[in-house]
Amino acid sequence: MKQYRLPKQSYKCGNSPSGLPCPAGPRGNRCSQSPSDSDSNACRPLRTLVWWSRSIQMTATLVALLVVSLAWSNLVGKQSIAPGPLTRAHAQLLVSAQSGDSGPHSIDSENRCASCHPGGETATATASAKQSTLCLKCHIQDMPDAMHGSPHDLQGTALAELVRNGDRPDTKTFLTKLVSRSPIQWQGNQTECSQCHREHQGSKHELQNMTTARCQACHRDAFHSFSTDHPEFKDYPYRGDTNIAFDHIKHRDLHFTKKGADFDCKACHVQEDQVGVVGQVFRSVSFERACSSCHLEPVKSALQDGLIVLQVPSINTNAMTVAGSEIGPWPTQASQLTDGVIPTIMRLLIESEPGGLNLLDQLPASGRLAELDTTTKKDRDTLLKLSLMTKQIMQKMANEGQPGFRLAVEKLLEGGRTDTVEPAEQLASRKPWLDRFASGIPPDLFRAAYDEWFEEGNLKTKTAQSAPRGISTFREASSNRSQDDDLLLGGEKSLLNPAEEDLLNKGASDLLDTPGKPNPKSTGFKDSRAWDQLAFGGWMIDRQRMSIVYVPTGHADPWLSKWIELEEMRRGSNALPGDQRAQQTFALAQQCRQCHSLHSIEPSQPSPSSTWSVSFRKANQGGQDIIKSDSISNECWKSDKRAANLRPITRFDHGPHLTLPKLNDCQSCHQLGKTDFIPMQKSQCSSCHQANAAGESCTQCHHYHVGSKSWVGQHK
Amino acid sequence: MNTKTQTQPRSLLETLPTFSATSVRVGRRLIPTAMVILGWLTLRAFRDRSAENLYNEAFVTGYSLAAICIFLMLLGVRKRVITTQIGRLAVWQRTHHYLGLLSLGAYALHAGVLTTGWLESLLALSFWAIALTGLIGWYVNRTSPKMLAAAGGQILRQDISEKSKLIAKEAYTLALTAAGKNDTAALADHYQASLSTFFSTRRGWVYRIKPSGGKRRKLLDDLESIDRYLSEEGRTQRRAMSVLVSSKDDLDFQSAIQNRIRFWAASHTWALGCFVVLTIAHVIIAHQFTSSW
Repeated sequence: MKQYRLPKQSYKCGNSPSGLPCPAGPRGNRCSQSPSDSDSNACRPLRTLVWWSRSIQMTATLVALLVVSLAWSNLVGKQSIAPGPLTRAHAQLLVSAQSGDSGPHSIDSENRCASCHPGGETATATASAKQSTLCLKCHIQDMPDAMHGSPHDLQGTALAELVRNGDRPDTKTFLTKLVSRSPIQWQGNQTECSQCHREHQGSKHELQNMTTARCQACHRDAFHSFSTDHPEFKDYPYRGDTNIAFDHIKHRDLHFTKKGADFDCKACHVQEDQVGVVGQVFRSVSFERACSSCHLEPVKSALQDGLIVLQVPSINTNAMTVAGSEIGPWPTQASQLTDGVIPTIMRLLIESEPGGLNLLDQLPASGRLAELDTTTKKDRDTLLKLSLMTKQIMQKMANEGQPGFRLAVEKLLEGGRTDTVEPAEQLASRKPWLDRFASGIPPDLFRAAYDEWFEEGNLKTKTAQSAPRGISTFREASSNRSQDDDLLLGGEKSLLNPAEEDLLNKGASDLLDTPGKPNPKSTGFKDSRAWDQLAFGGWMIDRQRMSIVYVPTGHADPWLSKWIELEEMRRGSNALPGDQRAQQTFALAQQCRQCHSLHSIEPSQPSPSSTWSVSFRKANQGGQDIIKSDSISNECWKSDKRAANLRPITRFDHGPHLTLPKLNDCQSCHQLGKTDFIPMQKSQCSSCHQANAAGESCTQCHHYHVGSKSWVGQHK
Repeated sequence: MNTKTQTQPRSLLETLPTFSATSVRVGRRLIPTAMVILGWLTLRAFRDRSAENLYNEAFVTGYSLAAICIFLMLLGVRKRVITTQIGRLAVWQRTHHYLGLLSLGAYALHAGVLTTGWLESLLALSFWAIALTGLIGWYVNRTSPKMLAAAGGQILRQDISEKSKLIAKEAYTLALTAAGKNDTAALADHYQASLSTFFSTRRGWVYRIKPSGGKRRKLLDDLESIDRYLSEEGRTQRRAMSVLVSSKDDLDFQSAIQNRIRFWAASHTWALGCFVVLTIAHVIIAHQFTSSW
């Protein structure tokens, strides 16, 4: 009776509606008073609300279980389980899946989710990776250092410096620390893209929008407002390196005043023809835009004599012959008296040859050959060695060409050291730089010069062997027939008849277009106009100076810059003996150094790569910018060292600022002091950048994804 | 005459502030409501703090919501366990009601109001179904006792049919008695024409969903209108019949209200199993698709 009256029974007596239920009630779904189930007159218990509730509950549960279990394999990887729409920036994931695009970034509909979620792989997809790795499949070009997954994309010393800066005396209790500790710290300075960039928040959600509080997950110093809590600026915005030593004050007070010109910042730093209200603002400007109007002519004047690569030393051959030292065939123009100075590049080439260093040691310290006395055997031997070395170098350049020159430069870089073995990576890293250096060498020119100056020399058959490489070699090969080929021809001048020989010579001459190589034997060319023909730079034979000359193309000549880089590398690595340093300096390099401020690493300073690095110091602050020989085109020569893929920590857009009347004048922020620019003060920015005005969130002025390169550039 | 000197010093108990029944009742609602609001604010602050610390706030709110839901389901366990009673059931129910409110706030923090996606929508639908039936059940539970008290006091639901039968029998007997005399036969005729169906059958669906006193008033008015055909004895019998009509209507009202309470209480659990299954699937998928939490 008591049990029946409890309201949790699934059945009630069939007589309940009549108001006269059995006192005992049903037993389960059977009448407790009926003797058997077959009794047709027995009471039929009725289902209660409890029964219906349980049935509905069980049915709903089973349906949910059935649906989830049956659809599970299809659910994964489907948009149906997405917690929200993607942002507009990622909408192409769906578009490409629907349109059947087969481009490099296309995603098939089956693996749509797997393109971002490693867990979204379907049965057909087998690739497994971290989610951030999948993000970077598309974004790696913008943020190459982000693949490390470290704070601010920093690595190594930069990361150590950042973490060290973040260390503060912590007085929090354990519980507070436990709650407030960032997962980045838990995970050993490892970050995931999704920790900051939350997807599936709708198409209008801005993934890059970050609150200041998020930055303070790691930057724990209290930050309530920019004006009160942000650290004071230090050398901003002049902290970064500049590759060009441009003295604004000197130009303003001296040069511009002398010329009566207006020292207007915007004349150089703003390009007003660009689209926009204020034009495009340049931090660093090119030589052509800012400097060429005054500095182009001096540069041209300095380069007009060209760079002597190799010069036949002037030796008094008669005196040598009389004294019993025969030097063999020697050009008449260089046989009158012993005089002249060994050019810098030639000295370097001599140094690269076996026995070259000994020869240089025997030469006078001043480099002047006139100081050698042909009456003494020692000096005559030196001159004899020098003459042989000159021929040897020319032979090498003619026979081995660019590979030979490349090998010589490589030896110069090594500095003759045999005590250390360079790693294979370092050797491989030099290759592009050396290749580029050697690419300008014209072996035909050396061959022609050798042919002209040392006609009876022992130029090997390499000339004939390399004949198919250029039409010009036909002429030289034919001109050398009297040497090696004579041995085979037995007195005959040529296997060709005279008519055919003329035809060959004529054809070769017509096709020969080396501007600096007029053939004196060819009557149709004007040797005397070689300089005019090289108005835009190149290689030539200077018969007056008996030398092979490289005329730089003007400002920013790539081959000349390689020589200067080579010299700086040798200085930095101590490859040069100390007493030779002063002599090795190129006169032309001095012109370069006026603006491109170059300084060697001090021997006492530790260098990350003692052999291959050059320190191009910051022009006005003494910072260092290490360049290496593995760089084809070193950044140190460029006026703007901030490459497009570098993301400095601090960012600033001049555009919206220059539209304000009070900031329209550049000098309202960039004020020149007595020696340099006066660093900006925080108050200059905080007057506008407040919470209720121009804003003061961290990401308004700071990048998160910095990378080691940008960090090094900003924190020297 | 100085009245102060004649005043007796009050006992310590008398000096304590006293609360009226109303203020106690208001306090019993305000305090849990304040705690719900405080709990929601705490959860929101915890979520924000987690987001600022670069944790995945969706997991923070999600697991908080799951914990609340598990505690809400413990009421069902408490109801079924009658051997060892942990706390009073009334306290459990009140806690269940206010935690239910908190779960709505936690859900809003976790998923917002609208969701997309097939699975997410199904899960949201089951959650809202449970929440909505719970809220209606809570409202019905709070408003029904007054109505039940006005309609005859405490009557067990399973006794209603039996009592209805007794009332119907009593009305039938009264009608038979009235039919034996000419001056009371009008009551018997009226019973036969208008009241026998009322006493012998259940009320219609409309009444059971929304009970009202319209039929009761009409029947009583009709009964009163035959007084002019009745003798004094007949009028006495008519008044007895009116009492029986009121009693039957009260029982019908009790039945409707109690069934309403039971319906919403039962419907609150209908989607529970479905919700649990979908929640487990949701948690598995969330972990499978998220790299940081």
